Amino acid sequence: MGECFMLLKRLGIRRKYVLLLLLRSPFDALRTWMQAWLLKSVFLCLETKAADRLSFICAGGALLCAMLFLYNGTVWSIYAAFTARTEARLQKEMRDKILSLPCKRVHGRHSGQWLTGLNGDIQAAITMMNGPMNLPHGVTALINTILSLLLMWKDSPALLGVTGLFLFPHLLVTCRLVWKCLPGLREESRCAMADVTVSVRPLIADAEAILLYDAGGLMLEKCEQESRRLLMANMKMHMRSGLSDMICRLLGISGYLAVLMAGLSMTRRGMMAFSDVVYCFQVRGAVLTGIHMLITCVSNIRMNSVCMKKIKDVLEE
Amino acid sequence: MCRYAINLNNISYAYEGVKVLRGLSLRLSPGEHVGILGDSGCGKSTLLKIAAGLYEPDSGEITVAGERLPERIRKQVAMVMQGNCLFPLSIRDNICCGHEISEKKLWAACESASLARWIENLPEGLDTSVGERGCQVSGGQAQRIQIARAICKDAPVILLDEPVSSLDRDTGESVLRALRKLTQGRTVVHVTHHPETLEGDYVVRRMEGGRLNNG
Repeated sequence: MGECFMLLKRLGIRRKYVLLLLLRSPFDALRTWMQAWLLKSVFLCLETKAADRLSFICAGGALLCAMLFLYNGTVWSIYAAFTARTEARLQKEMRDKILSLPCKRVHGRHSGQWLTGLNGDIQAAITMMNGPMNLPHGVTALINTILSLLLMWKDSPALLGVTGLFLFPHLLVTCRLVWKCLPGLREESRCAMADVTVSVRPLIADAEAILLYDAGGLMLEKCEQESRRLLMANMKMHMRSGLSDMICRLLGISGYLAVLMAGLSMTRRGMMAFSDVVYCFQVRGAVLTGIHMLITCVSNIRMNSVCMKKIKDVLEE
Repeated sequence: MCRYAINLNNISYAYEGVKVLRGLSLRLSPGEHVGILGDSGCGKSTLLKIAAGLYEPDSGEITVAGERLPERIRKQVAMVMQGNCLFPLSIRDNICCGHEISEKKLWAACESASLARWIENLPEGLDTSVGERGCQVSGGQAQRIQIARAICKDAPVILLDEPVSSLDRDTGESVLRALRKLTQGRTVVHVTHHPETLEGDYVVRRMEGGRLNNG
């Protein structure tokens, strides 16, 4: 993530990016709080048979919802325009840099590496800035998780403890088995992609020689070899991400059952009202969604950071 | 045996609406050598590509070594192209192009193309990579690798598309010596800007307005 901010600082747009990132982040957290509040208030009205308050609560909820979506739409459209301009700027900076480099340096790398830099790396950088499950969603998820944890702690620290028991192992395993390996695997995949580009190029540039000397088989074999390397590298990355998903499902369901049992027992003993349990379930869902989103975002950010670093290295050459 | 090694009859070819060849005819007997001179962009390279079965003409007939179908014509032709058209593979792969060729034949081709001594001094020998678009070998070596590739193909018709135009004089001369070994006893069409490269028994023709005139 540091690479991203350093690159943005180099382009002179770091402050603007941080501001936009923060502006678009509270949406999920506010929506979570609003949904939980709405459900809690509705169930409370039903329990106390206060039908006159119900329509007032629903109208308030609808108004808040409309305002939230208006805010979100405005901020996101500004943000999208900003990232589109950043993409064009990055491409220009990269092209200018390549043109300003001494020929010896340009020829020191094969064309696949430069093309991967110009296309793949910039695309990855923009995905990191604006793509789904990357930096913006990561910040949103972080704020959402913190807020949800606070709300749950305020309402029922015991149920928060039960939720945490199932979250902690997930975070630990993901950190050890997934996050650590991803940058290396991404680098491997990036190199393989560059080699695939080099191996494919003669199919177009030297098509005549290939036809004339019947070298199609040889060239395709070479392409296949490089594609297999790329496939293997990507497969390793997907397997690691899949591992995280698998643990998430396993611990998510177990955690749900545990909270359900604890909630049931607390309701029976009169320690909590049913509306409070519903509220806690709603907030627990937001905690889990936030954490899982955060895990996916961190995985993607770590992968895309490799490309960000490559862009930064080229621009600083 | 066919009467003509190459028979191009009334060939016309247009590229993006611009007529490049206009009713061009060329007949060559087996073993005959023809040199074609002409200005840049007059259609010399297009003529070679049509004769090689790489482009199909808009009209007219082609027969090369008795073959009419492009895919069969291509088997009868070897071509040394202008500039560097090496694959990003090893020297061996660039010469053999994925075909089974004995070491003896391979080294003989390298010897004829004046490559053998250079390859012997390379740490990885024939398995040395030439790099992307041959960036790890010189222009002269790249042309010699192309010549060795053409020798290994052992085709009856040889097409040369300005094979020494990008080389300095000394390197050009040594590549021409290697070409003489390749073209011996075969039918040759040599396209060039430089008539001095057409040594020996070449019949010289000039290309103008999409047709061939007598040189």
